[in-house]
Amino acid sequence: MPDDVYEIIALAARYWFLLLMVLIAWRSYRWLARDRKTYKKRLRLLPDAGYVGELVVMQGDDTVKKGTCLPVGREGVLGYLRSNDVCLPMNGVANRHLWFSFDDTDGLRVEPLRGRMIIADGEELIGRRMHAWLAHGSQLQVGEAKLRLRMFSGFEYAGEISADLRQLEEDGAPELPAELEDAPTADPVRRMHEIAAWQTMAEKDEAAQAEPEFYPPEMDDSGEDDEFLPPMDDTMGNSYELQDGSPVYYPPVTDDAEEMLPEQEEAPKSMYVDEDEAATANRVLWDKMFRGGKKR
Amino acid sequence: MSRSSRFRRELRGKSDYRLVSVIMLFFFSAFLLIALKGELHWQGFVLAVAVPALIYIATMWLPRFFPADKLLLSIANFLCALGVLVLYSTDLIKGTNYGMQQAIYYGAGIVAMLVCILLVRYIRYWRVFIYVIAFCALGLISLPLVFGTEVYGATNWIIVGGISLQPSELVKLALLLVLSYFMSQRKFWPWLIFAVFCMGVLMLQKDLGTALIYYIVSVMLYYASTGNLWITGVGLLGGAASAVYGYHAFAHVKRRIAVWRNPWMDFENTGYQIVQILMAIASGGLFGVGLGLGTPTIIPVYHTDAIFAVICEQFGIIFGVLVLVMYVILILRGAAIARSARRSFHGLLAMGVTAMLGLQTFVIIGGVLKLIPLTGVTMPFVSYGGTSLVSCMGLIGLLQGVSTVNQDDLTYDYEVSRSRTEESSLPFADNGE
Repeated sequence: MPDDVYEIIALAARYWFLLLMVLIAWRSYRWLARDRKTYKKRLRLLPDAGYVGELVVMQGDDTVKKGTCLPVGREGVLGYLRSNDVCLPMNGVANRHLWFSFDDTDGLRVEPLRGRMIIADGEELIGRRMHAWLAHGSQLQVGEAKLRLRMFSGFEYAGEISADLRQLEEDGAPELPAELEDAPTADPVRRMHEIAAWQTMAEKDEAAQAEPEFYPPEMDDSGEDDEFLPPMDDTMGNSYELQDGSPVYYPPVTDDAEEMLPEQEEAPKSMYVDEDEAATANRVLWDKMFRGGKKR
Repeated sequence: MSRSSRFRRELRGKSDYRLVSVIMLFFFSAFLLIALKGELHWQGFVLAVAVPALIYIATMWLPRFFPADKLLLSIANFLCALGVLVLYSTDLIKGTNYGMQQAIYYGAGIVAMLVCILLVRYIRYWRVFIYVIAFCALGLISLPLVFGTEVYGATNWIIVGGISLQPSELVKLALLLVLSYFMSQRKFWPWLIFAVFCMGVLMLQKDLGTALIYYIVSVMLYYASTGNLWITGVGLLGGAASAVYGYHAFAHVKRRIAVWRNPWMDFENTGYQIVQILMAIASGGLFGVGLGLGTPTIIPVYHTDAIFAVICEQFGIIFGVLVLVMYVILILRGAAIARSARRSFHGLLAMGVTAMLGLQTFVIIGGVLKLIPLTGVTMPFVSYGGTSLVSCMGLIGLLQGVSTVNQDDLTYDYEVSRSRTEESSLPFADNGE
């Protein structure tokens, strides 16, 4: 093609190229924006995305109650501060306490940060360069908190479950309280989680029952209903039923009055959290941290 | 078809055939036009068919085998093909053979990208492998000190059997892998030793532009992994101090900065390149002088450093700005991939790749536009150079690998959440809220 003809075509074609380039940039931008939107939408549908499991609080306090679930990501730091990946604001937990990372085959690796101490499945780990692998159902003690790991992602890979959980499976799963019989699950840790939740509810009920509502007997001067009133010189505490059948308690007057009260069902103790063991571990932890390992 | 595989297919996103077809149309028409210049060039006709075919294979056919990020692939392929086009158009003016060579390197780059995708996607245990990579990288980057060739003041080339290699380009991949691995394992000292050794060797080779990029990427990776502003600030201050030292220690740095401050002072010798670059951009104007026209080849090293000026001259400044927009979209996409990564190694790797590509683009285009002193860094994907193109496609491969792993994780999450929601709903603990 002669040069002058080529020049005319090339000069005309530069607008064509510019148009195509504008289209390319615009389509790329649209693609980027669309993908960002669908990604956000998708994450909203998958609230557990990115979490490998949760730490169920088996022993907590007023801030972090028993039964709380702390979601655990693939990697991160557990500690007191809110900027951590897992925030556990309890006594004995350092601002940045331990580093955890998930491995598809071995489970969750926990490693205390410099100068910190944790107890993982009964094994004490102090400072850096010590680590433990937590499996599905493993116990972890950080400060005053007792946690139990429940994995929901990667459980198939991580395979192994903790030793006591395996024992539990061999012995047979724990019996569920009657309230939860409608929701049977095969997963022992899930069941444990349910029991922890149930215990929280039971504690609430217990707290409600500890101070029974006090109804002072209505004084009736007419004398018609005198037979329903207790004798006024009763010093043992008494109870009687109202007409609709609900019990009304008098406040006990003497020390042994409690024996007279109807028996209340005691809230079942957790079969996983041994209070004495927890107290011992706490004392050991306290000694390690503040008394240089010397026993009191 | 099962639900998860349908989800997986949805996850890959609707492939935007419009974008890829517009890109293919662009290169088909451009190569056709340039093949008609003067007498007919059969090479131009071959490229007019081969380059769109390569783009189609790389963006539409390859992602059938793994959940690749097609937008990233499209942009990278567009930029590579743009490099081939510009180099081929200058070939016709000057009679060199850069275009065809670049097209061959482009094919090699796609292979490198595939290798990197498979590397990131299928290697789960880097513990031993990363040390192998680290020692190979240290050996490779030290090679030019022993038998290197000096090019433009820097001894960073080696010639093996007639093929010239720039090891610092290939070590980029290893640098990102090694640094992000050590940072994800929270091993600070091996990280520091590796980074300092690489930068020290580059300083000895007087390859200051690459050393600068390595340095800033290392500092950014440190900040991304720890969030420690103090040490990052100290690192940046140290960098500034060493830049001042470099200004006083190296004569050619001093000369370049003087040229940058006033290129017209000595426009026939030292300032010749930057003056020609500026004049080329100016003569292009908003719409350019037309493909295959103009005199871009009088710019010294037009094919590597100053290729952005060639683009601006032939296609115009608006086109150049749109090319920059493509780089920005690439970087935004890389940042999104880094943010959605689940493992810190993958997140840091994607972050490092994005930072490296962005920095390299900024350094060279800022240099061409006289925003910062011009350094001898290649423009990613576009500049002539086999090693550079292969390493840039390798970087894109690393990013793609991270992206495929992210998508696998999301599919897995979908399956897990489905299995969870199919169980009966249970009472949950009262969290005191």
